[in-house]
Amino acid sequence: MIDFLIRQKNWTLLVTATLLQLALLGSQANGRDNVRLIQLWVNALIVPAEQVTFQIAHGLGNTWHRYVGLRQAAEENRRLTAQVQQLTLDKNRLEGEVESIRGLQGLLNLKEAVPTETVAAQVIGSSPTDAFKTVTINRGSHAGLGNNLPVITPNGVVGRLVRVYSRSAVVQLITDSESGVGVVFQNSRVHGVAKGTGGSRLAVDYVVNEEKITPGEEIRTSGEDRLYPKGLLVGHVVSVGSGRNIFKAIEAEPAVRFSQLEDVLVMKQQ
Amino acid sequence: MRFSLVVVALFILVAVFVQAKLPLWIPFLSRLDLPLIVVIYFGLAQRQPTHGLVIGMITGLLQDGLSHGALGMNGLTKMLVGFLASSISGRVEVDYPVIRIAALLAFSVLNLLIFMLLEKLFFAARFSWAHYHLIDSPVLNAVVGFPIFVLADRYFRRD
Repeated sequence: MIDFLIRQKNWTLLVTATLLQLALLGSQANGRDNVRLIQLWVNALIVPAEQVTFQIAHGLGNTWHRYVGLRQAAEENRRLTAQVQQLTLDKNRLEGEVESIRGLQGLLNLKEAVPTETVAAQVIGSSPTDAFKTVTINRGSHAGLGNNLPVITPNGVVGRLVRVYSRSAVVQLITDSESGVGVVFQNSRVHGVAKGTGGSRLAVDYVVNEEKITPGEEIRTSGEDRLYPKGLLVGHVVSVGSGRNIFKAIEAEPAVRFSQLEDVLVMKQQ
Repeated sequence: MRFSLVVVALFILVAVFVQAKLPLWIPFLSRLDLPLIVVIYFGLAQRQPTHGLVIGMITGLLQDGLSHGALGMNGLTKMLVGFLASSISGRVEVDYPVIRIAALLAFSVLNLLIFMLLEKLFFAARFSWAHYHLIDSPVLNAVVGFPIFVLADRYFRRD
């Protein structure tokens, strides 16, 4: 290249001098917007190169930042995942506590509403066999509890104490097959006996076929059994049918959800 | 080199100086271009393109320096003329009077055309055809230039 330029020194000199003087003219001439032509030319030459350089540098910078960002994001992701897990645990715990407080609040309200003295207790166990529908509570004779005392929740009747120990007691649920509760239908005022079926529902017996009982009707304690005070909610009628004898076959759903039973009140006076 | 550097320098300086003064006394002579005549003369005589180029460029730049125009207009124009003149003189016998007069006319026209082109390119706002005398100036340059060529040959040329 240099050899070529030397060989063609006349033309090389001519081109060089021409370009220099054109640049000189450009530096004095104004283009559009009163900008020196030399500036326009320099811009036209330099700016694309600058743009390319900028794009490359910018691209490399972006790639690096993205790489660093990805690493930071991965780290942050791990941290946030752990945080989310912790928060989920906290949330679940708090929700449980809220529910517990809500239950306790209901119990407190019930305790204030019930005229008799009550003892609050917590369910700490359930029957080891499916044949018996019982739960164990954490209060016993030390709390002044005794056999046959009714156990209730704000939702309704739970059952009665069948065995009382010093610091615990066994509650026979109203769904137990050996349980029976004197009840009255809220609308028809018909009386009957709600017997446990050993399953999740109750069978209301001793309601003659002539009586008009409708599904959804509330069933409350009648007080006739001398175990449960009058007026406590027992459940709702689910189905009504004609029995094989003079009595209706009535099926009822307990008001209390025994699978979610946690806090109960034991009424000390029958 | 057929001329000493001093002679060349003197010719250039005198031509530029006189060209700057003459139109003050005789306005019509603003159409004359003495520096161009000097450039054509040395270009044809030197027969070295680089010499013609340098002489033309320096002469033109000096002329620009004294004028209120843009620096480089005459510099570039006369540089190209000097380069072409010396390039041609290397291939064609240019000592004949007719050739010289033709060269004076042709290079004067070329000089004007290049100047116009540059002005159109760089200073279009002030461009006007009225500024250019494509016939008067070349003829005047030829009329004045040819005697100068003869005198210069007689008194300053070495060969």
